[in-house]
Amino acid sequence: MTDDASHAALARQLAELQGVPLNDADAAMCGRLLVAGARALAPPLAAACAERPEGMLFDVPPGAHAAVLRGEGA
Amino acid sequence: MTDPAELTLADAAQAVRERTLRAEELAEACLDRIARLNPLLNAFLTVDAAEVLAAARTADAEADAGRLRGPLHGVPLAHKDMFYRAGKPCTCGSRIRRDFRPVRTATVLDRLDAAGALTLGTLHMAEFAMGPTGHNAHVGRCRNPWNPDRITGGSSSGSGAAVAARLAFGALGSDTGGSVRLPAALCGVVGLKPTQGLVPMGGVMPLSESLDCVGPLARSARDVATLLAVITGKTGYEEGIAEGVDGLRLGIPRSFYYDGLDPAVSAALDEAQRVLERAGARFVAVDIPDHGAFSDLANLVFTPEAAALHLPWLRDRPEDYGPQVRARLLQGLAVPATAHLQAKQLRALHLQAMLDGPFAQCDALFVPATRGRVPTAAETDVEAGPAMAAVVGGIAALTRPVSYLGLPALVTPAGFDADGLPIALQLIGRPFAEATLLRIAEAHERATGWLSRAPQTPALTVKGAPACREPTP
Repeated sequence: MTDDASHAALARQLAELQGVPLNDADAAMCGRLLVAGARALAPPLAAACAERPEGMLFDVPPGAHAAVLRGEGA
Repeated sequence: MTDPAELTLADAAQAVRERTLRAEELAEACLDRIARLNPLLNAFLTVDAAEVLAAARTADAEADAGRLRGPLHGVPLAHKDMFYRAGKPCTCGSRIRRDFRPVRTATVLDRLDAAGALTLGTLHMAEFAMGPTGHNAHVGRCRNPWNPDRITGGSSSGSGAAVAARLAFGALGSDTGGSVRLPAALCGVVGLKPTQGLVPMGGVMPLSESLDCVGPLARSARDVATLLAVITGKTGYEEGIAEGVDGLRLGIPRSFYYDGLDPAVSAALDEAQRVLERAGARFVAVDIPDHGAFSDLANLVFTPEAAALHLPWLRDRPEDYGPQVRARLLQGLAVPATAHLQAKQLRALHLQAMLDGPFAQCDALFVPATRGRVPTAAETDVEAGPAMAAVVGGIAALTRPVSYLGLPALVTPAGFDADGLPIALQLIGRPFAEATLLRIAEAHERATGWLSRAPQTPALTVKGAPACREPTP
């Protein structure tokens, strides 16, 4: 199986686990996005982690954005 | 006599207050234009003529008795069809919610009602607010008043078109990745995406909890300020708006926003800069973090949040979505929860970097709203094939990063291209600095007069405009 085909199969499984059947075209699209999302996230995540204590985002809760908007800092 | 529909919201409100115009005259003027122009523009999905006229007569009687409800007393508005009003149909631009009647009224509508505003009807939008062009598989596309062959931008397509065509004095839209700013930019009006969390979202169709914002569109910065003050219940937007820009520092990013601009957009931005410099603003070049990555990160935030909301319908009624909207929602099923949450963690750090970096050197960023000119409907239709994806993808390239950051941003006309289509500039501010953006926009519009220019295409100026040829199932 090619990478594209295996990503499409994985995306199809993920969708089906959530109760949504995918046709071949949708499975291929979601498979590409599965990879693209991970690739898009990796560089900014690595850059941010490099500047953080312990090299990770452990002390940045996902809701921290609202606090920064309020001027309370990240 | 001047058509009352040509007045700005501020002038219309003042005329009703001073009883030089009746609210009923304002409503009739809007209804007359809607009757003539909406068959072409498709900006209104529903019109409540009898209801708005009755409300206008009540407003007039109250004004005669010296009772004014608030700053919008007797002023006709209309809103994107995703703001709930108890008992009234609210389609969200979809087939799925064609018969939906909410049990509550949106907080922002309650506030507009309390301020005396009238409601003309509901406005066109992209299906479930997903789509930056103004196309809609279920209700046909909305047409740009400056040239009906061009797109309006979306997803608040009807809000942009109705305000530009003088069908309403102002409108609310929603902005998750550019959906207020794009129709404002492409239709030549002012549109504001407020700071994330500033405007209450109760009773508003959700799309992405982390990114959704309600924002006003109108024909002047002052009008937008009035609407913002009403829907937030806060003061300070109108009071200092005419103070000018003397001493303000505007940042021009060294990267991203000015890359690959159409020459007409570039020339318009240069001229807008000269205008603001003459008015006393100082421009500084600033370094910004890589905003190119922010669109991808915004998608990691947006798509799973939207997919989670739509999951029951994706399971049970997939055929009731337009194909592009369904495809967009399916993307969210393939985003791991860890990626979604990490994108949200990074959001806080990127915002902090913006505050410590460029916003330590300037009061607002001065950038274009779009890189290119207003696309044609044909360029952005599914029939256009693979080329369409690039055009559509590019439309929101300069708005989506701001949504990711959660910052306020305002678009206002910066001129017109050789085809007579609007070009817009975008001002991006610090959190909760909407008043600063409005002040800059007001100074610019006062110096240029771009907002006094109304669409003059023959279809809009000749009575008996041609009917919409696109089917509206």
